[in-house]
Amino acid sequence: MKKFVPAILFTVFAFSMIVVILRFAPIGDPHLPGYAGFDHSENTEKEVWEMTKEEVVQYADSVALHYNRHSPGDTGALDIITAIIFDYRAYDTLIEATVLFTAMIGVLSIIGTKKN
Amino acid sequence: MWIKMILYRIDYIVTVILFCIGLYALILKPNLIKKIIGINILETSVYLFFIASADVRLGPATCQWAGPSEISNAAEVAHAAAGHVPLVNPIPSALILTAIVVSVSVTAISLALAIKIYENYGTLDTRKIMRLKG
Repeated sequence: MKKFVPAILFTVFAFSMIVVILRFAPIGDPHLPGYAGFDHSENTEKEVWEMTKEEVVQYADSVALHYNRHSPGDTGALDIITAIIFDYRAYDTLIEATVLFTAMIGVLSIIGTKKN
Repeated sequence: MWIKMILYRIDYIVTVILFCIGLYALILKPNLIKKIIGINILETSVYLFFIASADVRLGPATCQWAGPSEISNAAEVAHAAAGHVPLVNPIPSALILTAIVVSVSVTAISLALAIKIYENYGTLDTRKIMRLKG
């Protein structure tokens, strides 16, 4: 009984999450918020898997499109993710190093002391 | 119909399964090391969700731009940079790299605390630790 109740609760939880996720657009859909910047729900008459490249390009988000178009010219890096991390968001990466340093200080203060 | 519906969203399904496995280990396992492993599995599911939601059909991954074989193909890179080819959104991948650093820090601190708890109490079982009362 003690293991039965959590199993039921987790099954209900997983089932509800899957029900919500089945309402999302399929993987690779240009209507997804990761790719399209705004709502295109009025022109969804075409199935995703029948679109050509030219039609998919129309849905691109302006921010992602800016990075994709201008990152080789702006930064000289061929990999866009490298350009974002080390150039466009360099301060973010710098403070990330601070996070790692703080974690190191925490670990050293917890277990780094010598015992007498 | 249902098979199609699930197979088009298989990444999200795997994300939900990983999230539930991680949450189960985090809440119900009494061992502290297994709890830390559960946190890591849960974070991995979130990474997978972000990167899968940024994917776009017919678009190559952004890391395909680099590499010696791709540099020689300058005409294709220029064609993609002009906006004629759908490219995967690179922003979620960059954000997930930040999240990985935070995850590593959290794991390091938790493991250090687990070592200290084992030194002081002689066990990693949370039920026994609760019974000892400090």
